Amino acid sequence: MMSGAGYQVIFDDLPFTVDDNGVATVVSVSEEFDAKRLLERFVFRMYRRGQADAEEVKALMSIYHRARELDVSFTDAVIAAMATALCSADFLFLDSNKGLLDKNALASRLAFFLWNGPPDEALRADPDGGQVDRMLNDKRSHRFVDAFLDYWLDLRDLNANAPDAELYPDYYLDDWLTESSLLETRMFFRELIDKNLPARNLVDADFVFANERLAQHYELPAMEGAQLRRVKLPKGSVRGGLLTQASVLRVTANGTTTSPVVRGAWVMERIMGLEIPPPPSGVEAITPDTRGATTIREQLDLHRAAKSCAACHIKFDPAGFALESFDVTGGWRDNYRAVGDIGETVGGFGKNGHAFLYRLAQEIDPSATLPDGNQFRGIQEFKALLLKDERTIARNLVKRLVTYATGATISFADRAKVEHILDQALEDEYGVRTLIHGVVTSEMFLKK
Amino acid sequence: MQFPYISMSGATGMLSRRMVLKGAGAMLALPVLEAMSPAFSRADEAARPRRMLGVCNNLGLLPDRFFPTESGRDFELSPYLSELEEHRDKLTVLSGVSHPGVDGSHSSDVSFLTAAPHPGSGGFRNSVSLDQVIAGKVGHLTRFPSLTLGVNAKEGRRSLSWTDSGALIPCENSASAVYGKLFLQGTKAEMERQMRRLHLGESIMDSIGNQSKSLRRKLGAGDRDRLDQYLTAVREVEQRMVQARAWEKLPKPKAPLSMPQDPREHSAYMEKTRLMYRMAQLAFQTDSTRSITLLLDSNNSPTIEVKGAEIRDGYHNLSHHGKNDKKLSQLDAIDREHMRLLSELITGMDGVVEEDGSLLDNTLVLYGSNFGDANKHTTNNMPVLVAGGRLMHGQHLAFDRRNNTPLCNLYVSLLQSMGIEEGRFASSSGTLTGLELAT
Repeated sequence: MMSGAGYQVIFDDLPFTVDDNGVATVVSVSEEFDAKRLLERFVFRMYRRGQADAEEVKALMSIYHRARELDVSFTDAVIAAMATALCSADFLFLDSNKGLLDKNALASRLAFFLWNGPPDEALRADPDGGQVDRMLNDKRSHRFVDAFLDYWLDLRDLNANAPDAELYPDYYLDDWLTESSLLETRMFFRELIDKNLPARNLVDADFVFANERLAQHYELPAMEGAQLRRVKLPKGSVRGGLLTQASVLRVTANGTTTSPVVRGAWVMERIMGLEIPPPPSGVEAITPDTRGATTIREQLDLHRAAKSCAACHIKFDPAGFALESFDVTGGWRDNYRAVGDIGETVGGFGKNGHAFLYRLAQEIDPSATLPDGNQFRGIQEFKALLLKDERTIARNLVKRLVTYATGATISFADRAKVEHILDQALEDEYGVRTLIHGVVTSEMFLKK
Repeated sequence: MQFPYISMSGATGMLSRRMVLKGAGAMLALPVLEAMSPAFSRADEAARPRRMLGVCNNLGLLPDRFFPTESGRDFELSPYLSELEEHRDKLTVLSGVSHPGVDGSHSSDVSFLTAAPHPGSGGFRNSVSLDQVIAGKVGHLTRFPSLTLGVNAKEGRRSLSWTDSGALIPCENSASAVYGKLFLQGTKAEMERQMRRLHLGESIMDSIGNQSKSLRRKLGAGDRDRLDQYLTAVREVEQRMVQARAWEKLPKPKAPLSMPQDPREHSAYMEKTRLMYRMAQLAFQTDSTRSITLLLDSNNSPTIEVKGAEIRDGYHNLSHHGKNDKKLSQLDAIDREHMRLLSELITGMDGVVEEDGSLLDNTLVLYGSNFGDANKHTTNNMPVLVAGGRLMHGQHLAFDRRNNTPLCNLYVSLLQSMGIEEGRFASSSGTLTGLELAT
C-alpha cells in the first residue's frame, strides 16, 4: 500500500493499478520520458542543491536502464534508481567545504540544525541569520527540540530505566508518568525558546508544565486531564528547572537505586558545563545495597575520605547529595526505600497486580558543602547557589548548541567566540532564543 | 584466498573496481568446488578447530557464584559450574581478564569481541570483531562467511559483530529465519528473481562508489576518513553480493528437522536461546558457516520465563539486586538455566560425529559477558568460558583480579589454534598463558 504523499514524492501524478494482492503497478505511457522527469524531480529535492545535476541524473538513468535490462518492471526500476540516490554519499553526508560555507552548505546546516530536515526554497534563496525566527516558529522546529534534548539530556534513554517492580511498585508500568515526563521537558524547553526566557531557567524556574499525573507526582495543587499546561509554582516549591524534572531524574538513576556520584557528575557536566575526568581504573566500585543497612552516602564517605579521590569528587558529589531528595522517577522522598528488615512498612498492590511490601528506611541527608565553602541544606539552597553564576549556565547551553549544530566540538581558539555570543546576549539576560540567534551568526557556525 | 585489497587513495594506474571484482568472480569457482567435495578430507592437515561460536550474555552472571575459588586443574566447581559438571574436562574457565579501556556500562557489549575502548563515549567508532577476522580468512569456503545471531537483540543498535570499517552487522533474532537461510531455497522463479536483485544491487553499489570519488577529492583529511568508512562499507556490500550470486545457484543442504516456530514474546528468552543454540549447531553441522556470534541481549529483555522458577521483575532490574535476597534467588535461577542450556549445547555438539572427531572437537565455543558485575556496572573481571576446539581443558586459569590480563590474549590464542597466523588482535599483549592445543 502506498500512501498518497509518499507516492507523489516518487511518482508524481502518474496513475497506478492495484492487483488482488495489494501490489501496485504504476502506469506510464512513455516510460523513458517519465523515468527521466521523475528522476530529475527527485534529485532536485533530495540533493538540497536546488538544481538537478545532469551528471547525476545520467548515472541514475543507467541504473534504471540496467534494471529494465534485467527484466525489472518500470515501477521497481524507478524505485531502484531512487534508492541509489538515497544511498549515495551526496545525499547521506552534509557537503561542507572547509572555510566559509557557501550558500547551499549554509542553508543545509541551518535546516538540519533547526528542522532536522532539508532546507526549503526560501532558505536556499537566502540563508542567513534573518531566517532563524521563521524557522523557530515553523512547526518543523519541534524536531530540533526533540533531538537536541534526546542527546543533551539523554532523554532517548528514558524507557531503559523502568522502575523496579518491588521497590517502586507505584511507578512500575506507569506509562502515563513516563510519557508525561518526556513531554514536560520538551514543552519546558520549547517555552524557553518561544518566550526567550533567560538560560538561568534551566536551573530554576517559577513555573513547570504539568498535567494531572505530574501534579500528583510533584505534589502540586491537583489538576485535571492529560494535557500538559504551564502552571505557576507555589512559593517555596522545590520544583522548577531541569534538575528537578522527572525525566532528568529518571535517566540519571537506574530504576532501582540512585547514585549521587552519577547524578552529581551528570548535572555538573551537562547543565553547568564542568569538565569531569573519568574515574581512575582500579578503584573498587560501590556495591549498591537496598537492604537498608547503609546509605549510599555512608558508602561514599569511605571513598571520599581519601584525599586523591576527594579532590575530584568535591566538584560533583554535592550536586548529587542535593538530588538524593528525589527517587528514581523524580518523586520527592524523605527516606530511602528498602526491602530489608529496617523501617516502617508500606504495603499494597502494584499496577502489575502483585502485592508489594517495602520499607521506609534511613532518612535522606541532602546537605553538603561546595568547593568554594558555601553550604546548603537541600535542593532549594543548592539551586540558589548555582544561580549566582548565570553566565556559566548560558555558556554551557551555547556550547551544546554549537556542537549539535556543527557536529564539531568547541576548540580552544573558539572560546573567545563563545564569550562574544554571551556578551551580545547579556542585555536579554541570556535569553535562549537570543542565544540561538547568536550561535547562527557566529563564525563557528558560518565556517567549517 | 584473500580478496584483492582495493585501495581508494590515488586514482592513476589502478584497475577499475568492476574489473577486479569480475576477476574475483572467476576465481570464486575454485573455493566453491573445494567446499563441494567431502568437507572432512583433511588427512594432510594437523588436527585443529576450524570454527568458532562467540556468545555474550550482556547482563553477566553473579560473580561469586560463577568463579571458582581455586585455580588450576583440580579446582572445586563453583555453584554455577556444577551445572556443567559432566563437561568439566571439555572446558576452561577464565578469571582476572578484561578489555583495557572498555567501560561505558551497558554499551560495553559492542566491544566484547572487538575490545575497542570507551564504547560509551560520543563519537565512538568500533573496530573489527573476532568473528569477522575469522570470516575474512575462511568465510569464502562456506555459503555464509559468518552468521550474526541474537536473542531479543535491539535491532540495529546492538551486536557482537562489527566490520573492518566499524559498521554494525545486525543480529538475526528469529530462529526460523536462520533456518530459512540455511535450508530453504525458493522456486526457480524466485531464485531467478533473487539473482536479478543481486545483479542490480551490484550495479547500484558500483554506481554510488564511483560517484563518491569526485566528492572525496574536495574533502579535508578528517572528512576523507569518514567518507572512506562509507566507501569501504559499500565495497563490502558489493563483494557480498558477488559471493551470494555464486552460491545462489548451488543447492542448500537437506534440513535434518522441521522449521522451528519462533516464540512470540520477548519473555520466552530462554526458549529463544535454546533454539538459537540449535540453529548455530545446525549451521556448523552443515558447514553453512564457520564463524557465528550470538548476542543474548538480556538488558533488552523484560520479565523472562524460567522453567521451575518464579521470576517477578525485569531482567535489568534484577541485575541491580542491591543485595536483595529475593532478587538474588531469581538471578540464581536464571544464571543456572544459562549454564544448563550451555551444557546442552556442548552435549549436542559432542554427539555429532565428523570424520576427524566430534563437532565439538572442531569448534571453539566462547561464552562470557561484558559485565564483570552488573550490579555495580563494572567491566573488569569478566566471566569467560571456553569449550571444545581440541584445547587442553579442565582448568581454571586465574589471572590477577586487581591487574587484569587482556582478554584479547585469549582471542589471539583462539585464532592461532585455528591455524590463523595472527600475532595480535586489538589490545592483546601476547597469547594466553596456559591455553594450548591438545597434542
